[in-house]
Amino acid sequence: MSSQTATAVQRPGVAAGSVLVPTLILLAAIVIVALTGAEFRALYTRDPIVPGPGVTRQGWLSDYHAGLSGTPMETPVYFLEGRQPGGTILVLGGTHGNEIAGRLAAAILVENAVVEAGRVIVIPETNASALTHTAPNQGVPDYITIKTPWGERRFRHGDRLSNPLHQYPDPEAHIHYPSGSLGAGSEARNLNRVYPGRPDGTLTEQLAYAITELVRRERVDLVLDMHEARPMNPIVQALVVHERAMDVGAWTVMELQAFEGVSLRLEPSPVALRGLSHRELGDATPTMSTLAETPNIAMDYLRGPTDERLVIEGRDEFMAKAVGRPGLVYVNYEHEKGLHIDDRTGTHLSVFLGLAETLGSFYPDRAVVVRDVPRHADVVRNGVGAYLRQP
Amino acid sequence: MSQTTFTLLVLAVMLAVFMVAWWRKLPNILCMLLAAVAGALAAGQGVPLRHLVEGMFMFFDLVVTILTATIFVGVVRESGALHGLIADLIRWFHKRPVLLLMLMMIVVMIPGGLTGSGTAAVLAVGPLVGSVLVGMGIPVVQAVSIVALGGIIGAFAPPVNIPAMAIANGINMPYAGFTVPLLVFSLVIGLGSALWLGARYVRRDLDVQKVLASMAAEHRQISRLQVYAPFVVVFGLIVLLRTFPELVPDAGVPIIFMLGVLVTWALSPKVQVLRVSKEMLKEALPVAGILIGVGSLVQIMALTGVRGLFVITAITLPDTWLYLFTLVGFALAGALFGSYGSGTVLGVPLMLALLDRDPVMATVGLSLMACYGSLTPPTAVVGFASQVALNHREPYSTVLRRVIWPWVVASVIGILIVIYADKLRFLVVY
Repeated sequence: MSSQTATAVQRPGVAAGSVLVPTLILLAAIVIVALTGAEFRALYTRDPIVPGPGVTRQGWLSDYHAGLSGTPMETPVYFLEGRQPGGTILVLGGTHGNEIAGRLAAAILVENAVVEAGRVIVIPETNASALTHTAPNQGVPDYITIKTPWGERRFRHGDRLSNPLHQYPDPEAHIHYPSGSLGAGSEARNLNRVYPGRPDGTLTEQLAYAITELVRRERVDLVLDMHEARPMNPIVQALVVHERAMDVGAWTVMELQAFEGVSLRLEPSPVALRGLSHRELGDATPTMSTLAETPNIAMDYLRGPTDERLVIEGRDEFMAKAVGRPGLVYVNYEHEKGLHIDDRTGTHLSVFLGLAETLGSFYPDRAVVVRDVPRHADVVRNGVGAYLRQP
Repeated sequence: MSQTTFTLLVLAVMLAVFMVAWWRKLPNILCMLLAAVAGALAAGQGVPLRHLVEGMFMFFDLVVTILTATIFVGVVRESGALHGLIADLIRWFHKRPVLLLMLMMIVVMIPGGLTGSGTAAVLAVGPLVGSVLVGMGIPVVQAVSIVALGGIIGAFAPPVNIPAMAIANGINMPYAGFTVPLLVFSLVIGLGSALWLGARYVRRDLDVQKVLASMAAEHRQISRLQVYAPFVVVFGLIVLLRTFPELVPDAGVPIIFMLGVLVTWALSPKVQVLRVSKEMLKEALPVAGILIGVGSLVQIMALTGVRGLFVITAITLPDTWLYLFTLVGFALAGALFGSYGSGTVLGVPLMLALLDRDPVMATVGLSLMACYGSLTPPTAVVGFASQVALNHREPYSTVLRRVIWPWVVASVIGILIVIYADKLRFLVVY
């Protein structure tokens, strides 16, 4: 009898215990999923861009390929048109979401530039999908905050690849269309590996196709694709140019060095490196295609604690140690100065202005005259925030 | 406080919490998650839920591949196809027992190569192959050692080498060009190990019926089509995908494994696919758990700067010290993080220090050393799994004594591959 009672008492206890722990784990999982899910979901809210006095109209990238309409790749296209005729420059920011300086430079152009001759077309968030996530294993912040005279403005950090939720699974190997050259499977989500794109391809290929179409239909004379790179990457602090843009690029690099102290390497676009904007847009259209790279320590493997401060100030003791070793770091890094976001964003803006001025000098009928765009020295002196408008 | 001191302190906290959790015999995934949380707290980051969850997805694709591959191996075993394959090998090669020994080694390596998991390989085919080896006259402890090394080298073999994938992923290098070097070295080391451990014991007068009878008693008599079709489908599609990527639509390797399961099921409808899948998922979950835990740990290491500390240490070490650190580091880290974890935690910083040579071959060498970490006690997941598979109840040290020399030789080969990576570049075929 007593044994039966003990069994009868024990069983519910065992049953309750066996249910309790899994239930608690399940509840904890639900709470964690809800909390983090909300945080990830918030990344789908676009960063505000405030059209400045020079913006004459705003379109969408799907205007050039209807397949993008309603997809996570849809992104605004800003037109800044002058009263005088001239050439057309397309500026791409955010091809890689995590390359912040290019995005900030594009935002500053939209919010400040006034075009007097020719026109400038700006896409500040070129791969909108890449801004809706951050890469596992990188530990980067999901937002960065820029201080401005009127308060703070927040930008998503993003990643270099399209969100895998929007394009899944990655293939075993990425096969570039149309060359057939091979790359890592994940590169199928890298906009700057899939140019010129195709209308019936993956979402990222369709995005590239829409940009190529824009270049064709708008008869773009010069493309500037604004990027950032790891300081340990040999192609950093550089202007990469298609052979058709070599003269304009070389002159611009020399002028920037001579008159602004902005030092960039001039890199010819490798013919065999397929899928990149500087190669494919130049090959597929008559445009002069260029790509600028500034150094961002937060993208490197060699970095200490990774937070907003690192992304913005670009100062890191490990990088300072590595600079002394030959063949490791490809930028002039001074620890006290760091690789500040003001310096990097200002470099992109000076590259834009330099290219526009050189284009006008070399091809007067294609001149693009722009005012109210800060140069490198202005941005370094006043900070990026001084040129961001209040939404 | 300097950045180096700060990150060293964070690392010390992570290691201390990991060791305490490990000593308390918590599951590996919990040890890693607790270490990750402690590291974040020590670095003043609070409990960064977003980072912990995001890190868990670092190896998401790989986890799906392992889970589906393990289900495929289980279903193939349940259908009798694995049994049929081994029985055929015995019938065809019993007059050449040394060749049969080598074929048995390859049979253990195949599921390892497919799943990237030595543990899954030895659990899936270890009992069958082990009974054949014992039937061939090889002592049980030698058979356990052969199966364990088969699992280790299978995990190193192509197509799926998880440490190599992790290292490639960590330095933004495509996992391409690895097949030939991985195949060459896995065959040389795998077959060499089997011969070293077993050749002297194999009997020339092999009794086929006795060996066949010594295999697991329950098996179905199935046709050759039922035996070979699943393997042909899976291997055929993987080879086609890699050979003609522009012609074969790529829906992902997990889909290929699921197609293999469907083919097996269609040909052998009595197989209880759902039950087997559940059982195999239970077997694979610890491996998946380690990958999920490692992902979170690495994310927190990157967040707190500990990963950067590893990188700056590795790239500033003189070459001789770097090689010594590599040899000892992988052997020890294997006990803590398993081969997958050590591939990521140690492999990536080491690879960054070795970027002055052919990265594919250097990664091959590092991944070889990382894979053997699954033999390091007290974790020794593959070693213990082999003992379980062959019902071997003696202390693990008896197995360790047998595998130690093949392990040392393989590690030396690994470091030589790293040192002479440029000269071995001819093996890299894209």
